[in-house]
Order: sequence, then structure tokens, then C-alpha cells
Amino acid sequence: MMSVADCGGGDNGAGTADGSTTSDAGTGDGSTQGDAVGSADGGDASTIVAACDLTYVDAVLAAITTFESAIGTTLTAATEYDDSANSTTQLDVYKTNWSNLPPGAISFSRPGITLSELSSANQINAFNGLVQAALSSAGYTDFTGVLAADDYLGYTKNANGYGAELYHVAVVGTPSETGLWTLMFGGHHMAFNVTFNAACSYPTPHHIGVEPRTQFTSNDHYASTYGTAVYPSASYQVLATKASAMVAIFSALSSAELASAFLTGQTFNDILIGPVEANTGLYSAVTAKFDAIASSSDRGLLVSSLSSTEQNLVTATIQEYVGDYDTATASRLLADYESGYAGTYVAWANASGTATTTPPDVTESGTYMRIDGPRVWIEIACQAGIVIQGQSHYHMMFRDKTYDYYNELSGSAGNDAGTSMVGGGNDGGGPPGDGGGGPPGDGGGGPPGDGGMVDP
Amino acid sequence: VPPSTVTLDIGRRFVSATLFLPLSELGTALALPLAGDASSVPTRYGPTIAEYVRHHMRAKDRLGRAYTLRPLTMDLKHTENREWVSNDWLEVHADFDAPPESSTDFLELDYDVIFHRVLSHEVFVYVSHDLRNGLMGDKPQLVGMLGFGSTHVVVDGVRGSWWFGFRRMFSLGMHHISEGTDHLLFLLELLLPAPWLALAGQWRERKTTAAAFRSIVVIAGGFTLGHCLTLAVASAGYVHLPSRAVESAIAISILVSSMHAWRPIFPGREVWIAFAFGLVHGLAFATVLTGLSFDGITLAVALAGFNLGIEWMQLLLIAVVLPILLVLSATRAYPVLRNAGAAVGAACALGWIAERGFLLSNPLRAFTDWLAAFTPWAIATALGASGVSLALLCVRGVVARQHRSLALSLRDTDAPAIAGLVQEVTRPRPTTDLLPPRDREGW
Repeated sequence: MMSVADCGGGDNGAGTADGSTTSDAGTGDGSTQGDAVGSADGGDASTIVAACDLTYVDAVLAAITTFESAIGTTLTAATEYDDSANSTTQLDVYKTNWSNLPPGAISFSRPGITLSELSSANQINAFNGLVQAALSSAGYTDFTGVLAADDYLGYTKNANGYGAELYHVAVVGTPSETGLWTLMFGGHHMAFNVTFNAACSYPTPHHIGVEPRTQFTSNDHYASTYGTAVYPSASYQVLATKASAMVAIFSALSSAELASAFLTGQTFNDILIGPVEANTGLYSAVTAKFDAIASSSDRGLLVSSLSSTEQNLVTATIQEYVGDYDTATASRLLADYESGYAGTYVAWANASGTATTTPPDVTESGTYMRIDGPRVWIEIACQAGIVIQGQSHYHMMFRDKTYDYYNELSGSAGNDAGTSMVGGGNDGGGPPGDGGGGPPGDGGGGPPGDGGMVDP
Repeated sequence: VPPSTVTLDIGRRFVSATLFLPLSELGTALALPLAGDASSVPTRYGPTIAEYVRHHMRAKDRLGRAYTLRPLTMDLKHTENREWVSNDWLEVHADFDAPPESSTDFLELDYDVIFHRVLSHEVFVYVSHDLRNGLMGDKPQLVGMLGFGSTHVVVDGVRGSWWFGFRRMFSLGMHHISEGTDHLLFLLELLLPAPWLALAGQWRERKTTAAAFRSIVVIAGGFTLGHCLTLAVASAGYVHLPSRAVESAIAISILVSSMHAWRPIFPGREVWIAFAFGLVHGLAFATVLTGLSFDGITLAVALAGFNLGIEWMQLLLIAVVLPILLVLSATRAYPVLRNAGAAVGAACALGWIAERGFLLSNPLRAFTDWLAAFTPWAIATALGASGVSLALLCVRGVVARQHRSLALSLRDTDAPAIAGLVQEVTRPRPTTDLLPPRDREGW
């Protein structure tokens, strides 16, 4: 039915004014390209078709091949989690194992190998080639900037637990032109999760952040330790264009619009929907938050009510995020998101919870801005510095409410009441209380009518 | 950004909640400058915060009847975690009384402290103590994550029971003593010389079997009484000694009892030594029950189960060791065995004293670890040996009775005839030869 058209653009559900994902993209009728390529969830498995142009996926596949031959079989085995050797459940957990936090501050391990395990110019160059194949030049600029910033925290500011060598690369699932698999680059302030299905790419959830927010000069610690650079020696100011594109939206608003975009009484010391699904392999915790957003009375200012100039600023901001990936993916997503402006809001908040007449100020901790559409979700939080105290730093989140992880994680209505909930008495001793408390009806479960998620 | 935690301890009639709230986030939520001057927070803002917290959490039972919240208390805490913007915390204690005619086995918590204003804030909810479900505080269970979009968590412990909790504590008590190499070693060292009589600073000769039996039982009884007392007192929270001091004292107790097994240093007063050191060992047992004193009934059930488990295991142990001791102690090789046992005990004790008392590396670590790992095999071997010993003792009993009856009928029968008879019944050696001369009449 729509297996190709769907991928090429045209989010048929994007225009719904209530912002729900109910009719999005046909996942509810089981006719996504996932079915067309014969995945397990029913449908006609007789033909295997790539639904998107092969240029991008082939470039990434070639870069993976080059990288894996450079690192050898042992490291490859640690990098790639094949379908044959892992259950879907396990693969899903790997896909959700990303975070904004440095490795020492999280309770799980990111999948794959770290840059500290690369030991020759050939390996490191192959890694750089893989990142450049997966990301656009804008995305690669963010990538190198975050690595340079972490080396700066670790070896200029001498904070423990930071450094470019701690970043991970992983391939979850068996990479192919037709199958479902995810390429992950992750570490402190970084989660690139690019899921491929039938040659189309779905690059969310995408988290990016940086400390310091202001300009710094790279110390090139990785290059001097490992012999080859993973980021250019340069002066950096990371994520500045993303932040200023977002600020520009609010700066262009009239004072009445600015006030109506303000989330009165709400404050944010971080992004709202960060890695809430981490280490679960489930989407339900995310769904719960999106449902609460959808049902909240105050979501900000409708984009469709803005002038075309103002709408263009919204588009330019979205472009800053989708533009981190190949042009085909970027234009497909951008078209989808633009078509949903009738249900898309822009909103902002500050530390006091009370509106000001001046637009958001990224130098202030507590400044928060977001774009919240039927599918698109972009938020920027300016929060207090950790290593560099007294200076705010960015956390950013880009999600697609329908297509995070290509919509393949379990967590839709009715199948997950117990998501991250463990029963009151489940102590491994086996006894009565086991599983005692999956809270019935609690927000863990997706709401009825969500319909956006495909059953596993 | 630091999250909050809510830790629930489930008592019989009430649920004790401990809220660990980051001052930075609480300050944002209340629009108060809490993080700036942490130390003044309880006095300046205590009532405001208490009022706020009371209005942002409530608990209901299965039928929707409300728990009653007692007055809150609060303490300041400080952590050192460089990942967090703020390391000052307010620890709020809130006790929820179950509705009359309801039970604490089911609780629905509605909660939006901090995140009703700070939407990015997250709350981890744990159950730490729930005896009826076997939760003893050592493995807190995550029962939910609260935050924007989820303000509700259900704590359903209805499948637990007091009987289950009691059994759990009983097996915990059994494990605790069977895996506690140091407790076992102390008791064994104390029992090692028990079958013998001290005379002029030497272990001279074996007591009668009945007397040896009595000694062993009395010593074990003294130890039991001692550790029962302190276990109860310490787990109720009346006594608290630093664990390093307690552990060191236990190592010393092993050294002392080993020395006593080598040469009598407190002959005839073993029961008092056993009692006194029992007091020390009880303090160590009590660490398992830490944190239960919040609720009397919970503590009482846990204490009863745990203590009975310890006693039961100890009884089993003595039942196994006793026959072996009785038989071995009647052999000529026993003084050598006893001294060897004393030497091993003393060496282990010295190792532990170095490790626990002086924080040195224990040169015998490998050996004591091996000893602990060896325990199951030792138990199996001991069981076998005990069976053989028991058989020997029975045979001796039979022989002794036959001896008496033979002696009655054949008054002038000589020893070799009896020895021959014994040889027929048991294999290796005439039992009578195993005994020191003085003891024969006991049979």
C-alpha cells in the first residue's frame, strides 16, 4: 500500500490537531516498510524491497565493512550484535543503552567498543570514515565538537571520567540494505542512534549536549595519546548554531506571542524526555511522557498561528537537527514535520517559572525551549555546569514520537504495565512477592489509542 | 541533575517513607534559595517544606481509603558526587499509618514532590524493608519511577506473609552461622578441650563420656545465651558498636579459645568465657537486622526467626561434632589433634586480628577463604565421621552392657576374652584399648 511512499515523506497523520500520533504513518494498519521486507510481524514476506534510495545505506555499509576489517574479528565481535546471536529483547535493550551522562555515572554499559580500544592509525581513520559516512558534515561537526569538549573537561579541566577515548561505537542487529539494525555512537552528552530499515534511516532518539557552552581550544589529548586524531585540532564552540536557531524563533515573536509560548509555572533543570527508556529495551516510559504532554493544557504556541517568517525559523531549527544526517533522510523528515505544523507547538520556560518580556537566554541555567509536534520533539535545556561551575551548559533532545528506533520497541498500550516496575517483594529469593507490583493502569503503559507502536 | 529517592519500609501498621530530596531542585520547585545556605534550611524553611511535602504525596489502601500522615521530621545530608549540580539533600521522614481495619500489604502512592514544578525531575521509589516479602534492607527493590507523566506507584506486597518472613529469617540465620567461618571456629576451639580435664596447667586426661557430653552442652549453651542477649539488644537499636571493633573482638575470641585448647587457661570457667564472647558474636549477628527497629512487631518476628535459625544450625553442628569429639577425645592421638586444631585456630585468629584490627593484609587470607569454601566438604566429611563415631559409641554402649553382663556371669573372665568379643563386633581395634585406664569403669 504505502510501503514506499511512507518512507519518501508524507506523514499522513502529521496534520492532526490534537497532536496525538494515532494515525501516524500507517503503523497501525501494519503496512509499513517493515512488513514489506518480510519482518516477523506479519504481512507479505515474499518480496524484499528496499524502500529508500540505497546511496546512504550503501555508504554506511561500506564504511562499516572498512571499519570492521580494520579492527579485526575480536573487536568486530565486540562492536556488532548480530540478530543471530541475540534475542530481539536483548537487542532492544542495547538500543536503549544511551545516556547524557559520562560512563562512570550510569548503572549500565553502553554497547560496543570504545575509542580507547582502537590502536592504529588505520583503525582510527576507519572509525572517522564510519562517522563521516553516517553523519552529514553538520552532524560530524557536532560529533567532533563533543569529543573535543570531553577531552577538554578530562585533560584541560582535569575532571575524572571524561575524555574522547570513552566514546562508544556499536552496531545493533545485522547490518544490511534491507534489514532492521541500528548504528550507535554514544558517550557523555552524545547519543547518535541511527536505525535503518529497508534502507531508510530513522535517526532518533538523538541526544546531544556540551560542556563548556562557550568557546574553548582543543587540547588534542586523544591524538597525542592514540597517535591519530578523532577531532581536528581547533577552537570550538559546540552546538552554538543549534541553540541560536532555537533562540531566534522566540526572539522573533511579539511580546504577546512570547508570553503565550511561555510555560507558566513549569521549570526544567534538564531536558524532559532524556534517556528515560535507558536499559529497558522498552518505549513505554517515553510514551507515558508524550501522553502527559498531549493531555497537558499548556503546550505553548501553535506554529501554524505564526507568520511565515516565524514558521521559517521553526523550520530552520528543525533543519539544524535533521540536517545532521544524510540529505534524503533530512528532507524526508523535514517534510513530515512541516506538514504537522497545525499540531506543533513552540514553548519555553525559565528558572523562575514566570514569563519575562525578554526572549530565552541560554546563559541562564533553567532556560528551556522546545518544539513539540505530532511527531517532532526537539528540546534544549540550559542547565547548571558540572565541571565548569557558574556556566550553563546544553542538553538537547531530538525525538520522533512515532519513529524513534523505527517504532520497533515494545511499549505500546497493554503490554508493559510493569516496564521498569519491579514487584514489592521480588528479591531474587523467589518467594511470594515476585513481580508484586506492576502498577496496573499506571502511566507506564501507553494509552489506549496510541497505536503508534508496532508490537514486537 | 540529581534525582530524588523515596524509600519505603513496610511495618505492620504503618509504612515509613524516607524522601531524599536534592536541595537545588527542591529550591527551584518552591522558588526558595535553599541550595545557597543549606545549614539554615531546616530552621528557616522547615515548616514551609513540611507543609509543601504533605500536600504533594498521599497514600491509599486497596479500597482507596487514605493512610494518615504523621508529622514529618527532616535532616540535612551531604554527598560527594561530582556528577550532580548540588550535593546537599534534605532527608524527610514521613510515616503513613494504615487506615483502621486495613493492612500495610498494599499501598498506592500518589506523589509529585518537586516535579509538579520542576518537570524534568525524576524520582526513584524503592521498598527497602518488607519482612513479609523477605526484604531486609540489603536489596532495595525499585518499585517505580515517578516524574512528569507518572505520579502514581503501586506497592503490592499482598503475596507476602509473616510466616514467609519468619522462614526467610530462619534460613538467613542458618546461612549466617554456617557461612561464618569465624563463629564456627570459635565454637569448635572452645569445644576442642571440653572432653578433657585440666590438671596443673595441662590437659591431663579425658573426662567420663557423660561428663564430656555435659561440658560440651553447657559451653554451647553459654555461647547461645550470650549471643541471644546482644543480638536482641543490638538489633533493637539500644547498642551500637563499630563493626571493626566487633569483628576484631571476635578474632580475639578465637585466639583466646585456641590458646585454651592448647593449654588450659580458664579451666572450669569455659561457660563464662563462652557466654562473654557469645555477647560479642551476637553484636556481629545483629548487623543483619540493622534498620528493622522502625517497627516493633517486624523486629520481633525477624529476631525470632533469625535467632532460631542460628540456634538450629548450631544445634545441628554440635550434633554432628559431638560424637566425633567424644570418640576422638578417647584416642591417644587426641592431644596431638587438639593442639593441631588449636594452632590452626590461633593462626587464623592472628590473621584476622591483623586484618580487622590493624587493617593489614591478612597473610592467611587464602587459607581462610579456602576454609570457607571448604566448609561444605568439611560438613559432608564431618557428617560421615559423625555417623561412624555414633556407631562406635553405640557399639561401645552395647559392649559395655555385655561387658557388665559377662562380668556378672563369668566373674573371672579376663580382658583378652572381652577384647576378642569386641573385635568381632567392630572392625579395627578393641574399643576398650582406646580409653585411658581411668575411664574404663565409666563403661
